[in-house]
Amino acid sequence: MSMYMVLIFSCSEGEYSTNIVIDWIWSKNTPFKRLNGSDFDNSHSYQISMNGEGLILKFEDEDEDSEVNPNEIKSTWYRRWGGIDFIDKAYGLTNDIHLNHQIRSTLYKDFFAIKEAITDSYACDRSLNKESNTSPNKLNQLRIASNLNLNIPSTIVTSSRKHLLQFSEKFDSIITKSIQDFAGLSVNSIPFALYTSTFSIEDIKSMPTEFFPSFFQEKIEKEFEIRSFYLEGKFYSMAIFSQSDQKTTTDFRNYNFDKPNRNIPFKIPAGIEEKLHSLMMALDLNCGSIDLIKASDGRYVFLEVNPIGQFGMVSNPCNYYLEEIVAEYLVAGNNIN
Amino acid sequence: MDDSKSVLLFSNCIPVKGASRSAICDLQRNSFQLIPNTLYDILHDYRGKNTKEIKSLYDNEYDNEIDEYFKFLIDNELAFTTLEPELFPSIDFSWKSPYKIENSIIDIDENSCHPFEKIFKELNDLGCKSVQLRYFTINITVDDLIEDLRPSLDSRIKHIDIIMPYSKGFDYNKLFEAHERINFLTVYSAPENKTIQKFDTPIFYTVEKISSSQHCGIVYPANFSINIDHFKEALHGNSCLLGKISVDIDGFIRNCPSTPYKSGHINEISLLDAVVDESLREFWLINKDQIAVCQDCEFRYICTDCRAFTIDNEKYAKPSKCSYDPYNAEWSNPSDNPFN
Repeated sequence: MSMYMVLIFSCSEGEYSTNIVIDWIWSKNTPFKRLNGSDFDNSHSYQISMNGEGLILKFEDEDEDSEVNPNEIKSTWYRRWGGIDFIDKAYGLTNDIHLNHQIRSTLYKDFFAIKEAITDSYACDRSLNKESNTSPNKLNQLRIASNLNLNIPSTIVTSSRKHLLQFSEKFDSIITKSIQDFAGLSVNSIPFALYTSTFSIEDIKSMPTEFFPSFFQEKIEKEFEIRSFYLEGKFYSMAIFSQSDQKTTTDFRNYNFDKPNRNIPFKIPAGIEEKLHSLMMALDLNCGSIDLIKASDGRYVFLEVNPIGQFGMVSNPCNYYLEEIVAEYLVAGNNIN
Repeated sequence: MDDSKSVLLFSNCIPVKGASRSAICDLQRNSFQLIPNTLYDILHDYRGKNTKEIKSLYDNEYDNEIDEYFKFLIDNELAFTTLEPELFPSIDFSWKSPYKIENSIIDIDENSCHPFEKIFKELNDLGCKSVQLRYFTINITVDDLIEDLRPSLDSRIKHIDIIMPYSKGFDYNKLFEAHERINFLTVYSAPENKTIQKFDTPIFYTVEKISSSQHCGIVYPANFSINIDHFKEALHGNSCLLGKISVDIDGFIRNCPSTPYKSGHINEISLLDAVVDESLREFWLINKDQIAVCQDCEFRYICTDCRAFTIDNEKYAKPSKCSYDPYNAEWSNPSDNPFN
């Protein structure tokens, strides 16, 4: 009977990091199970049952041996989930838009309850992140960071053009971005990503007097950006020299492929690392990607932390082998009985 | 320029010293810049020192030259200035891998009868990342190719490269649909040189005839790999053979199909036995610092070595198909020279 010791929640598409971590777990001879969100869509037969020991997950197309039994799991990694768009495609296709919306939002809630039950039942002491705190609230992050004496950009959320104008007058330039983590939109199957964007005085003037509450920050003049992968108190940081390139000045993800930004290993000063560590503890995160700016005036300014951020983009250029470090964390659960 | 600051090479721009000049290997932008050895020495010996300190180490006799050097580095975005050089550590280029095998070449000709089921299963068990199949046959049908690759479908192999002869009307679409892991297709004896970008997988047409494993081991700048993966591999071991195991046209297991040492026949032993064969593994770790002439070459960590075709077939001799002389910085075959 196979025993899974490591359980990974991920998604089937675009998860390069999960694949490499799994290669490292494999090299350390530890049995693991990867569950992708899409394994739970309406093209798979599965059941969740309760017995005296807890919740047992079983897929019909597999033999009984591959049941995932919570008592065997020694460590988990909540990487991602993904694969929920089947709900939109398959259900609620009536001619009544409002009814469709009600049906879908009910099904979403049901599906999230299933997801929560599954992830909760496999919770163990040795878990990298958990489902419940992977959707970061950037406002809470900034508030807590500020309480811990980390520098943050001046920030407002406002629905008023007047307030926005007053705010913007205090700074050379302001930016806007989404309040919570936002993967992007798809318009006629064409994907649109939401990047951090500068918001000009013309943009402000084009707004109605009242609008949907939106997030604005002073634009910090930067020497460079820092992305740091954090795991259990350790920082693996990279400086991103995005400033010299017009295209990436505001958001380095707006990549210039011909002349990529310089990405090199960086060491965050110890005092700043200590505060960031306290922030991660306060947010109940033991793993995540932290974004900072080294401002032209020398300050380290905290922007946000993304618990499920891509870390291959730090691991490869700096040769940190972060995928092995993640694997080692998970495999170490093997020794705990 | 502010002399109290340090001019620091971006840590992915690595100076490598040669006999007559040095190269800064830009591992992020896949290029290199040639520099005089005097600049190499400044960069290597005084990394992190500020410009004022460096100038005084030369008794301020070369202030203008040093300014000129540093301006060149900054203008070319190879370096930046900082007051805190200690916050920018060098890259640790240690090499490690979760795989027991990195890549594999399988050669096939008219007479080959390889047990593909066995080969792919064993490559899978070894965690092999990439496989290259080279067809030295006169003709190949899409169905044959699909069938040969069929056992790879359930494996962990990530990339498959194919080198095959040109065949008129070949149904590439059918091949790519059956095998999504093919990420590179080279078609030789083609009517013209061109790259077809119609599919997700690029197809390279070449008029050249690639008829045997002898057609390999050519070392010249157009083939340089200037990236971190290759660089750390070349520091650690052999930039062609590290973690490589291959099957030749007759089914013998070798490092690469062109190297002389045979570990056994694929019908008799498994690839798992072959990878622990010390005589085969020995070549994995021969790096450029151990190879005559190459050890004095500024390109030694960005070229691809060859241990199959070497001068006088010596184990530690320079690849015979490389025409560069690092002592005079000249290519005996002028068409290899990237500056011509």
